[in-house]
Amino acid sequence: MTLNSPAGGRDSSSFRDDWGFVFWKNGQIYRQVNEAGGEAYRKLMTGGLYEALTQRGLLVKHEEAGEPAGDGAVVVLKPELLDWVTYPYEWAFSQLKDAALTTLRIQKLAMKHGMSLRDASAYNIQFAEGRPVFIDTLSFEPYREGEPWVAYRQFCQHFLAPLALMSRVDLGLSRLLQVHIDGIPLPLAARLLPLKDRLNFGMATHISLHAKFQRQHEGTAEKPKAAMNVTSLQGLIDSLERTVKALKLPKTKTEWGDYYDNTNYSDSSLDQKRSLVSDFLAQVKPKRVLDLGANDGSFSRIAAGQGALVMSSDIDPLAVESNYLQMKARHETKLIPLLVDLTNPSPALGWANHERQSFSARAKADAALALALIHHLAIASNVPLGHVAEYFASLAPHLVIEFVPKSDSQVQRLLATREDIFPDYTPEGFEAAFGRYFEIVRKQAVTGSARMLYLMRRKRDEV
Amino acid sequence: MIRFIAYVDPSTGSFALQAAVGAVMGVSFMVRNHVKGFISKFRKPRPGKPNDIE
Repeated sequence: MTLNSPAGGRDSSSFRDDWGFVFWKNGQIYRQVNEAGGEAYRKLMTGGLYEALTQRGLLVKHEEAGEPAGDGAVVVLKPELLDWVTYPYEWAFSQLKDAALTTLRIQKLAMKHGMSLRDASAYNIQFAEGRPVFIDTLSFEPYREGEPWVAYRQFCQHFLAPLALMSRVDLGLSRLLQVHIDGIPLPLAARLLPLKDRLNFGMATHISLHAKFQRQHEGTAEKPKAAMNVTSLQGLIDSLERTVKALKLPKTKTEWGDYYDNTNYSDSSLDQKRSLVSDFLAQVKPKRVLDLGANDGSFSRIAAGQGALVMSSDIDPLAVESNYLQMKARHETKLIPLLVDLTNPSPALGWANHERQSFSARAKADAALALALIHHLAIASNVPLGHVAEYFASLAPHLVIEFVPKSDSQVQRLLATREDIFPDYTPEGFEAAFGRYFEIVRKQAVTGSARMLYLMRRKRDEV
Repeated sequence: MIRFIAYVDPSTGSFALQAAVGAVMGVSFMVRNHVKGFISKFRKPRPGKPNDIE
């Protein structure tokens, strides 16, 4: 379903489920359904659930693709391709919350059709056309009366625990999902949450009590005596949904959360910058754009307005949150807001470091935007200009970049409390460093400021 | 026969918790649904407002 790893063979993230796996052939992704998953797959397709989910845009569509590929295969599916893969630790609070609510909505629909989710991994959700969509067609099994929800623990670890920690402790704790690839352990979440949350029924039950029960039953194979009837299961899903819905974003102020209220641009300078960026992009006509340091996505929307699909990334969780909420409110379909620290982008993770791809491996585009960013990388983070140029050249063949000189008040602010050890941070030094990897196509001053906007094209031998 | 296994580790603790609190949640769910249904009888329909009950 993704454009990642189209080289061929089995997808490196698809090996945990005996019901089937995902593989690549000629740049197209396929999903093999094994005998073990055949019955459930047929029920999904013939029982009305597939239609119900795809009509609502909740499940990625597929078609059955000819002959089975290998031993034990019942059918091979050809799912619709997604443009970009993102991971839960790169999502803003409301993205993870919407992904959680989508998973629960799918479970409720599945139960109406006599089925149930057999896993509730946050990695089964991707963002496409502005909304969360479920991508694992083999996650559904026939519901059997009396059975508990096998995905309950996974849902709490992948969704509820990180959301609770982001809401009640610190927004940055979503990064714990990067360390704990199968979700945040509930005993850890219970220890980190404030004591007052033990008075909240949902949090107390699904996290604190859940953690306690896990500890009590650790290492035992004792079967519970009571069965879960369908009403109890509906009650559990309903309780999870209410608990997730009640979690709100904490009232915190982050460094860049209100950036566009505090810039040193006049309205006319900002308008001219918008116009220049629009002109530069129109010259390149990119289909996929990577906006690096996008803040709330103001300039990403210029690219999206020209028809490009934009990965709109920023280091600030509140800025990404604002970007996502604007996207939702306007029903925009061309943006994917993303939380990325460019000085430490998401690494390759999981089994053999192949299960989850690094940000750099996924973030391939036709053009990159790097507006009001270079001083944060070169001065605030001490990354040499040459390193920045080399990395940007690895991401896209075209670059729209803004140079912010030392005379600019934003740079002065960065230099106010530290020694200026950046003698090469000049327009000449900038052009020399980037000139090694790019040729300058256009260059224009932003009126009312000392800033300069460049359109660059990657040199052929530096790809 | 009730299965207590899954391809992802569901944890016996999670099953035990569901068994312990499932009945309470089930009753709470039914009561809430009845109350919602009762209140909706007295509410004017709002045009363009989607029904959030699947």
